[in-house]
Order: sequence, then C-alpha cells, then structure tokens
Amino acid sequence: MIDRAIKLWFFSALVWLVIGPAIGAFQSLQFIAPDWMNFLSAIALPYSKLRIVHTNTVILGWIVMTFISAALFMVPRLCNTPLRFPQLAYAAGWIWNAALVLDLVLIWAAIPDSFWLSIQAGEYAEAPLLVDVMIVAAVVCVIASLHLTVFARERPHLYVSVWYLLGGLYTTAITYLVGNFLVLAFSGEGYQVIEAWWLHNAVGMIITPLGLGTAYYIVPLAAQQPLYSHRLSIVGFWTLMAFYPGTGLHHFLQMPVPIWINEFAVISSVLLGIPVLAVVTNFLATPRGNWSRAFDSYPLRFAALGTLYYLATCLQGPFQATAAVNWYVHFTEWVQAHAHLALAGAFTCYGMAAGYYMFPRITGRQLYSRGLASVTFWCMVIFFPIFYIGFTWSGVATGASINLMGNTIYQTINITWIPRLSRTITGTVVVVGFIAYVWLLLRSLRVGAPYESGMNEVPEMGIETPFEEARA
Amino acid sequence: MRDDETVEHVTIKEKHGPLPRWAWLFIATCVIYGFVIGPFDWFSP
Repeated sequence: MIDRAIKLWFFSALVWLVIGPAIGAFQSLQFIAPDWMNFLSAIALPYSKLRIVHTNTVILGWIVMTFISAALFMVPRLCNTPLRFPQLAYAAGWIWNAALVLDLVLIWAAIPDSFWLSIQAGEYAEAPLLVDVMIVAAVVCVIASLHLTVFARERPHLYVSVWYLLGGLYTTAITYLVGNFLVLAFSGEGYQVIEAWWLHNAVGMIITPLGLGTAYYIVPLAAQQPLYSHRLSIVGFWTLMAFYPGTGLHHFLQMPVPIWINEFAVISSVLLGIPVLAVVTNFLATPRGNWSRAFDSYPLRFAALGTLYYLATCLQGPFQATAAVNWYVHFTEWVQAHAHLALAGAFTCYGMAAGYYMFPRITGRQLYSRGLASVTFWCMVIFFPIFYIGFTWSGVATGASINLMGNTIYQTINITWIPRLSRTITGTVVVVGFIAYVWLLLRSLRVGAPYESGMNEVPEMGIETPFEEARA
Repeated sequence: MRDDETVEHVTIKEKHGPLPRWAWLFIATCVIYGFVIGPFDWFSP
C-alpha cells in the first residue's frame, strides 16, 4: 500500500505535467495570432478559462503532486520507519485527482451564482469551493499520515528535509484555507490584501518548502557528500517561515492600502535573500570536490540546474518588489516571466530531479535511455532560458510603452510580437522536453532493466557506490 | 497501525559548525537594503 500511494501521486503528476504546460504553450498563440483562436470561444474555452486551467493544472497537478509523492517517499526513509496509515495518503491521491478533474469541468461549464460550483475571483484560487474542500481534505489526510510517521520515527534527529516537507504541508493547508475560504469573508480592499497574501504564498508557502525539502534530500545523496552546513539549513528554514508570509502585498504596491502594509511587504521580500542564501549555498557547496558526479547523476544535474534558476528567480524577486522598480514592471509580462522562472524553471527541475531519483527506487526499473534523459536536461538548459528571455523582453518593452510613452496596453501588441513568437516556439520545445521526460519514465516501466539498491538510475552509467560506504 | 512493509534506511550526513562570517555579512546587507532602499519610491517619474 505504501508503494501504491507513492506511485499514485507520482504518476498522476506526470499526467498533469503533459496537460498543464501544453495548454500554456497553446494559449500563448493568443498573443501572436488572436484571430486563429476565435474558435475557442465557440467551444466555451476562451483564453480567460484556458489560463486558469494552465495555472491550476501546473501548480496543483504537476508541481504539488510530484512533491507530495516525494514527501511520501522521503519522510519515512529519513525517519527510519514505514509510512503510517498509507491508506490515507492513497485515498488522498484519488481525492486530489478527482478534485482537479472536477475543477476542469466546472471551469469549462462556468456555472453562475452557485456557492459551491462557481469559479471564484482570486488569481490561482479560481477553483470552485467544492474543489477547494476536496483539496484541503486531501492535504489533511497526507499530513495525518506523514506526521504520525514522524511521531513514530526511530531516530530522534530530524533532517532538514523533514522540516521542509512536513512544514510545507502544514503551510499548504493554512495558505489554502486562507486564500480560498477566509478570503470570502472580506470585500473590496480587504479582499485584495488577503488575495495578495494568498497568491504569493501559493508559491512561497506551498511550493517552495515542498520543493526545497525534496532537493535537500537529493543533493547530498546524489553528490555522495555530506550536507555543507546543518546550521545554515535550519537558519534557511526558519527565516523562510518568518519572512515569506509577509511578502504578498508587493504585488499591489500601487493599491490604496496603508503604507505600512506595503513597506512590510517590501522589507519582507528583501529579507528573503537570507533563506535563499542558505539554500543556494548548501546546494552548491555540498557537491564541491565531487562535481564530476553530475556527469553520472541526472538527479544531481537537475537539482543543480534548478538551484541556478532558483537563485536567479530569488535575486529577481526582491529586486522587482522594491517600489523603485515595481512601478515599471507592474502590468507587464515581466511578472509572468518571473513566475515561470520559479515554477517552470526552478521547481520543475527539482520535480524532475526527484522523478529521476525516485523512479528506479519505487518501480524497480532503471531508466532505459540515457540519450532521452539528456534531451530532457538540455531542453531545460538551452531552450528554457530563451523562453524566459522572450517573456522578459516582452515585459520590458511593454513597460516602456505604457509607462514612458503613455500607450495603452493594446498598442504594445505591435512592438512585442517578436519576443512573444520567440516564447511560443521555445516554450513549445520545453513542453516537448517534458513529454520526453514522461515518455522516458513510462517506457522504462516496460523495457527498463531491473534496478537493485545501490545501482545508478541509468544503465550505461555503471554501478554507483552507496553513499554510506563512500563516506564511511 | 504499523505497516508490515520495511523501509530503506537513509542517513544523510551533515557538517556541523557555526555560520561562516560572510553569511552574517550577507544577512546584514539584506537587512540594510530591505529597510533603507526597499520601501521607498526612488526613481519613478
């Protein structure tokens, strides 16, 4: 039952990885050939709905599901005890999938004036209330299973991954409850303040701790080196928990709210540099002296690449959150570029690192093709940055047009079609890389050579020395 | 309830020691930058 629960979350995430990003690439055609997309309105799927489907399936489907599968895999191993009540985690996986399918149906149907079934107004919180109830119920089931496992652990020391993964699940429940339920008690400006809190914490308090906990597990094991600094890892966890919740309102600096709330958000955003420093230092210093392992280990490659994207996005975030910069980039695609750098870049790389690490260990099969694994890696190395640059270029040009030249947003379309075309093409290549990753894993189920503990994930790469023996 | 399935043992080793001096320097920089530069609208027209 334990393996079934992990596999359910893991393989469901792969399905959503194919659906979510592909919809994103498809809907980007709206910006370069809007006339071609008119047919979508005829089938009740205009851009406004497709965008919601894209964000919901990528965030809740691919990213969160893959990190929850990682939590179910990693926490029991770190606690040296089997997962408690795996039936809860297994049932939660089905509830979560049912909620996402229901979400897509209700977004398409767009039922008006229904308390439980209507699309909600908040960004990333568009899922109808019935879907929200199912999501929270699933999170509570996973928390119960994992926390009981931690209570029953057979070693007293908690490695930092357990802090991040379990803490991340608790903050997931809290953030989701506030952003989807508590927010309904407010209106006007109060609603917007809560909404800002939610939409940034959907990344910072849901995806970030789950993703970092996953990477903290993979990096030292894949690099076969001890973690660079225990103290830095703990400083990073607690400063993330302390500073991240206050950052959300930097999305609405131009909004008429008390100035102290804006200042609090900006200061919190800049202070996020501290946990970022802790994480990036630990991830990049741990393999020091043994970086050659990156040639042999796809989990390490993807974790290192994800860390570089994480560093870039976390340097960009505090920079654009300051009032001195925000007035220019607000209302432009710069912001979406930043979101893609975090979610499609950093955390997708961490998710793929987890996939490459976990797959042989939960299925008993090695990956069948080193070449295809390389394709998935180089797609993220070469084409993702070009995709991101196209997005950012479009944002910078739009900022100049509307802020400095006084144009309307519609007048920017003529000056941004080249970067928008670039991002559609390169974004499509990135999606092909994701599909190759899913194909690689699914085909390995049938044709992959048997895997035994201590072996490397890819057959041509030989037998690796187990970590315990290497550093004994 | 305890599942009968066994679990692979994983121990991740960590280095212990005080924070390096440059980490404190970076933390101080973040604090100063956050409070002095961050909230103020220095450049908008």
